[in-house]
Amino acid sequence: MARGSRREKGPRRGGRGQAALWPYVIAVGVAAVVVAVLIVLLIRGGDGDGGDGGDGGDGGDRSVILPSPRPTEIAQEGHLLGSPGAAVTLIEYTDFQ
Amino acid sequence: MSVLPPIEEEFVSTGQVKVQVRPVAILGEESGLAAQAAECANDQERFWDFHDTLYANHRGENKGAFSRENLKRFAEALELDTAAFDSCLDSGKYASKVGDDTEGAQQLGVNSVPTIFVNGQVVSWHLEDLQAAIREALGSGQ
Repeated sequence: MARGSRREKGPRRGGRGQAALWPYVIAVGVAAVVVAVLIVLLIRGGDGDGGDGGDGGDGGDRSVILPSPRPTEIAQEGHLLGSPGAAVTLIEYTDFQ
Repeated sequence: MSVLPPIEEEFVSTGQVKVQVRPVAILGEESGLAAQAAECANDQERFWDFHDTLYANHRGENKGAFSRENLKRFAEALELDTAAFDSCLDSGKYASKVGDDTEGAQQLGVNSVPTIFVNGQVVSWHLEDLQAAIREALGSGQ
């Protein structure tokens, strides 16, 4: 009977042990969430300041839009685009703005 | 603003027209920087990629879109040799060229942009007019 009693008590002792860990698990979880929120706030704050101050009207958007590549069959050489032997020459004076 | 994409699609890709772009700087400080940056990209045989990236990232005149920092970011995004590009831009290697080209263009009567010549004749940059002028030059009469 004594042995039987010990067997019955075994799981309950284990349950108490797991229950005792829960406060720590919760505390670690809460700490992780707080750290994650702080990191997100820091990153957002850093981007906003840099973008507004550095680029004027560019805002905080620092992404670069890359155009689609030209078909490889269109010749490019320096400022010239197209076949050097083309019948018509178009010269465009342009200001990139 | 560029009128080139539709012209490129209809006439350049078919071998009928070749296009030469001559950057000038008449709209402000960022015009000069952008033109110099395009010349620096041309040193690496990437003029047209940089040209297209400038238009893709245009955000209005002198609003910071073509700041020195942003032009360097364009070069990085295009995977140019950034050390060479940055050195080229920061040294002002092409500043006098852009200034001379702008002055030369103005002497030809280029006081607004874009100004377009088709086989040496000034043509309206409006697309329909430009297409008509090219067709006339090609002798198609279409």
